[in-house]
Amino acid sequence: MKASYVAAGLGLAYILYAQNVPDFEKRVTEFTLSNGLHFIVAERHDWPVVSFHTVVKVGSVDDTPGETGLAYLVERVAFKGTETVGTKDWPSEKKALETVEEAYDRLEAERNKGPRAEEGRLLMLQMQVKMAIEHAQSTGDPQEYSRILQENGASGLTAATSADNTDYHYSLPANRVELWFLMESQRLLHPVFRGFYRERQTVLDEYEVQPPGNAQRQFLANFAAAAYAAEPYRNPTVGWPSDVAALRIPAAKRFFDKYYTPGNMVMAIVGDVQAAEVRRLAERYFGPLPARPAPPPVHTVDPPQPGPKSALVVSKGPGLLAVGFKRPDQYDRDDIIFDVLQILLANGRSGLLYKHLVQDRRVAAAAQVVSSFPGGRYPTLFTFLLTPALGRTADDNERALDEVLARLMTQLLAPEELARAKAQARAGVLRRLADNAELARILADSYAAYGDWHKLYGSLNDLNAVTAADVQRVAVRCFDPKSRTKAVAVREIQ
Amino acid sequence: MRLVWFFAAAMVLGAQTAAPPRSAARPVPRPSAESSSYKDLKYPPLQPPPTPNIQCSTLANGLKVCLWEDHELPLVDGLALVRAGDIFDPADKIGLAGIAGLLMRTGGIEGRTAEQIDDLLDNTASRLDVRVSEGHTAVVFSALKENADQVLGIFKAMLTAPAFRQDKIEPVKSQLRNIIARRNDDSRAIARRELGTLIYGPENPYGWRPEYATIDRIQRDDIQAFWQRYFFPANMLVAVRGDFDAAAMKLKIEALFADWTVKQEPVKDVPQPSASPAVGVHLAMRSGMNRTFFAMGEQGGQLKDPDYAAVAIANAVVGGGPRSRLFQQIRAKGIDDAEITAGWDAGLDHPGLLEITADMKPRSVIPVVLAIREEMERVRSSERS
Repeated sequence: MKASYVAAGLGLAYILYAQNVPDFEKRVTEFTLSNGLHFIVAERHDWPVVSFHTVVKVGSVDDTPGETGLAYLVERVAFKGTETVGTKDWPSEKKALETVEEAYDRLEAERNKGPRAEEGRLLMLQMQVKMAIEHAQSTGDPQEYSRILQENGASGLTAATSADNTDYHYSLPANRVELWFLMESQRLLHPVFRGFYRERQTVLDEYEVQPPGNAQRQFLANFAAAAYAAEPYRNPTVGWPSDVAALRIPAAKRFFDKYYTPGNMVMAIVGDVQAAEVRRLAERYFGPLPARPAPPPVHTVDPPQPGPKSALVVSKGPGLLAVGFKRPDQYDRDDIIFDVLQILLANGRSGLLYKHLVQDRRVAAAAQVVSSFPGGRYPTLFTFLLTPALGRTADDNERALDEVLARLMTQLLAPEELARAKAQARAGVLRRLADNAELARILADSYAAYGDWHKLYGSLNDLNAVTAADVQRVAVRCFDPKSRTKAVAVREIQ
Repeated sequence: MRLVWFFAAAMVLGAQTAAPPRSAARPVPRPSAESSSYKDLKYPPLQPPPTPNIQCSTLANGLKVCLWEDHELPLVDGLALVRAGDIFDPADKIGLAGIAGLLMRTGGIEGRTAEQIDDLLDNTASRLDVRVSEGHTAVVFSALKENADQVLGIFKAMLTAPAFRQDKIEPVKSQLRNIIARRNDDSRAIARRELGTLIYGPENPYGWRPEYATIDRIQRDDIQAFWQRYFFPANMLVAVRGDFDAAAMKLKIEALFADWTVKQEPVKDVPQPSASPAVGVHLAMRSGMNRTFFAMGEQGGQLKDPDYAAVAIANAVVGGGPRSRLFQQIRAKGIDDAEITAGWDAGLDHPGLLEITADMKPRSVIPVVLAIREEMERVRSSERS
């Protein structure tokens, strides 16, 4: 019985690589404008819809000390319009926005005096800033940009910031492709960070949201802060509240100019379009973007971890356990093996963690694995997130987890276990190809991460070569007690 | 949902053709990217989406089968939709449909344990799941083409010969108890849940919900009886899409289900909820909160209502998203700490919910309520622009 499953797994691997992917490649066109902006186009004419996905290679990892949360806040205002869209009268709005900054400069100048600052003057200057902001808000309409898109049938309008990337996405009816070119290029050429201070307040308010709404997010922020000593991966994507409260438009503009450059972005377009037409429109609309130097990478890396770390988080949310191990970045030759480990441990009901912790021991209600947390561009964490079952503790979970890890380090995987992980990895990619929006996302993400979308199936090839000995070697290398960090969330006694 | 969308799009097109033809009349050269406005763009007509070639038929045993041949990817996906959901729970055993659904998936089939099934599915990267909703139970699968036969075999066995193994019942029950234990964690969810119960009444299947006691009462016999009552060919639709030949697939499904000839009385609709209760304000107090959530509403409409499309559009205008009138109304009043949405949910077989929910700082509750009242008056009495 078992032997036939193995054969099925390997057969599948062959079919996927040999048949579908090269077929699929024929539909994909890519080109780079002279300013460095890269486009990937996949034609799929079944339905008259098109999905657009822009990835900017900037994330919270690029936030500088004192300005954490800036990448996220820039994303939040990036759909708020331009000098022509979203304004009631640009000259007066421009003036109103400048007045805000002038008032803010005066306030900061007084604040910077520290203990010598005059309290009465501070209050007055604060009031002036507040009034200037309110006046500026009355001169613009931050919703107009997205309203135009929605009125033209846009769906799935989303923007997201992660540690590594910022993504912008939506889909349009196929006859409105040019609208995307116009709106997307205009917001890069003439952005106005309208409603910046209102968005800033919203971000700060999110910190106050009651658990369990953000219990897990706060827990993971504490976990990352405990695990990383120096790397900016230690900072939450939303930023530290005291930093966020001090973020201002001039800093956002500098950030935008530095990172939202043609060479630092990739745009994927998937659906009922003609590649030649896309190219023509791309030249016309995005050609005017000036080329700029590549932004610098982050050079801060953690020094070697001297020993295991732990953090206890008292929370109003449910009990949780996170365990992470330091691992190299996504450009390491073992990267694919970490992916195999992730699938092996946490994919489906036959995932090793599900079997051992949820099914057999019944210590966990859920078990997740993230192969690089919170990002992969820099040295990162292989992370386990376990939710204890009712009446079970984090300790129960940690013991059971260690049993699974010990097995991976001391025993070779059975052939069918490895074949299963490979089959699941391939099927996972295949299922994502079915959807235009998902396909646009993976094309853009692969390019942003590796500089080549072919990595999408290049990695399928690498996957095929992974052996049980590789998995054991990487498990031994990674699950080193010295590089371990754990965080435990315990429920506050009310 | 599709219908709403269709009408909404038609309105946009209508509005554009009706606009003064200023830009159309000007024979200006194409503006450069620098100066171009979205208002100057011209769009070619949108091609209507093709109608997929879906073939439906009814087998001799009463099973409805719908097939959609689609060769783009080497996948075969499908589901069985059964008229058996939460609303068919007996009053003293609320949660039965949910437990039966979960146990179909985790309780094994004749000759195979659930663990064996899991291994088989995971080894071939296939998926098989049971989802129980208000009115239906869906058994959903996804397989790579070459494993489709194998997965179809398990799919059929899960529907027609579930084993409901005794030792798997307790884990399923504790899963449900877990949900009950945590259902007050999210304050927003409390308001919405209680609104539903108030509007449909705690004695009606649309308003009630499982409690520890109703779950404790459920035994294996109940689960078996529930399955026997609702899982029969004439109460089920099987739909499959993917990389196959439709004629061959039809024969395959026919052969697969040919020996399943169970007959049962047709399933009747459950009693309709009574009229909405008297107007009232109900509070759930919780200390240490810095936000207030409320939900208000009444019974909504049904999909078959002739007014369905009109009400759906009205709802989108009033409460759908940040451009909606409600949202604009509260922003215009300077309330900037509130999120508000209106939903109008049309039921398939019963009146759905017309619901307005808001999330705000406590100081804004009264202004938000007043803004809603004003907007409702406006909708009721005045213009529809």
